[in-house]
Amino acid sequence: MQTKNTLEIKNLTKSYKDFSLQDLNLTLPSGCIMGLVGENGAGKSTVIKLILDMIRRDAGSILILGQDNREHPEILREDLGIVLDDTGFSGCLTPKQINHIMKNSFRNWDENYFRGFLKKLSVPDNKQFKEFSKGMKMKLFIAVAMSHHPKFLILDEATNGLDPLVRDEITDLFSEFTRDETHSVLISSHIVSDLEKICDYIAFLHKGRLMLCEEKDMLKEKYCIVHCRPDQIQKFPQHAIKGKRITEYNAEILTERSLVPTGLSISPVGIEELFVFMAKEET
Amino acid sequence: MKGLLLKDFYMIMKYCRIYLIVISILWIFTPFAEEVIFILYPCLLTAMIPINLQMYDEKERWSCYSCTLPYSSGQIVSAKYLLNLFTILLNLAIISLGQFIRMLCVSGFNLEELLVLLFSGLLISVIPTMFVLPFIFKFGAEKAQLAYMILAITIGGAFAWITIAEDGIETETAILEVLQNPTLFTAIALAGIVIIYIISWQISMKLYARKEFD
Repeated sequence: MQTKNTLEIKNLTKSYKDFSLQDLNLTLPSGCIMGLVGENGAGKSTVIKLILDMIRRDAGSILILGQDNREHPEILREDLGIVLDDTGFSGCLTPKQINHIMKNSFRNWDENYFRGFLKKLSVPDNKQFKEFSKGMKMKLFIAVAMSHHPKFLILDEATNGLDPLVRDEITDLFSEFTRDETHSVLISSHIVSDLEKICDYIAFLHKGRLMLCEEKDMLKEKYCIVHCRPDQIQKFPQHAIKGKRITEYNAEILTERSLVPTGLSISPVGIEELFVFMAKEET
Repeated sequence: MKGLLLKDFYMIMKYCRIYLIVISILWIFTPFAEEVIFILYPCLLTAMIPINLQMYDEKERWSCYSCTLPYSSGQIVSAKYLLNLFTILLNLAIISLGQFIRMLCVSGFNLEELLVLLFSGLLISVIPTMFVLPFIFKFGAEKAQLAYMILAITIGGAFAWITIAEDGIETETAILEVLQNPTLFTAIALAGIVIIYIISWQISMKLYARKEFD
């Protein structure tokens, strides 16, 4: 059964002693890539672990491919490709052995695809996992995540540790993956440029709160940076200022294009800039 | 669950190689040795295998990774218990064969003697697993070391109570009476072990299902 949305999160809450994820609402339509952006400790990994039911939610609901994530997760995971930053294979295993393990774990495991993937990413077949560099480990995780032909890829900091060339190659693979309209990707990363390149939707998390979640193109269309003198800030209504950077002689204001007073120079805003401005304003 | 068992098999061949070598050497000596150490020591080493593997799983973050695979928490736990059962049965089968040969060569086959020996081996093989694994699945391998100590103290205390305490004389007599009837003793104790093992398995599954992987 094909669902309209791959992921639907409603009123998701999780509290710890020193951190809480508050009332998160997020929807990822099928066929799209969503980037989860946030500083360290913003709650990106918490969201992903809640989606995978690796930690228990306090409140809210999570639907993956139209199904509650807590109902038969082992069956649901046949359709998920998952890469988490802080997990590992046993150090003694080689990719060849991992292939055998996964062949006996996933119903749709595609051995040839896996081997081809390893070859493409230059991952040695007979080397032990513990001897791999961080980048090599990540490539192997990505190969495993994609070789059972999942419908939904969930990637937590999956491009970390990879050199720019491989990152480019991998992000292309993710884009290619979503050419099939039933496929979707949720990816969290510190490297916002990667997300900017491939994502259709961007979700900003800051201190456990979702600041915004919109289509990337819409964000770029909606927001801009206004360059002016510091004394010109007063021209802006307070609610229009989403973020600002002020020096003695210059001011840069992040605002909606529709709210820019006439006569001021504007420039387009990148996703990274947008996040930094907004997060700083909140702080 | 085949994938999980295969992964454990690869790990045994790599990380438990020393155990396998020692066990194999002891197996070779079994038909020639009357000393109980040749029977009980392989059992003790066998018992340590699933505990060791679970420790490696945690250390290498496989425990966390396995949450992303199409296995239920019950299957992840069951893989360790099944592995334990398989290694115990294999070990006891080889020991039985060795003892069978020894008895035939030395004093003639004695079923009761063999049953008592096998039962002692079984006891040593399952006690560490059935008591320690639930603690490992709940608290993690590091904190479960406390369970080892509690287990050792409890067993030591029980022996001390039976052999030293004045009040224990009656109990000791009762135990000795049962021991004099090895078939009855084996049957009662075997039933007890099976029940406790199943309870341990169920507890581990419940505890692991509630575990969070932060």
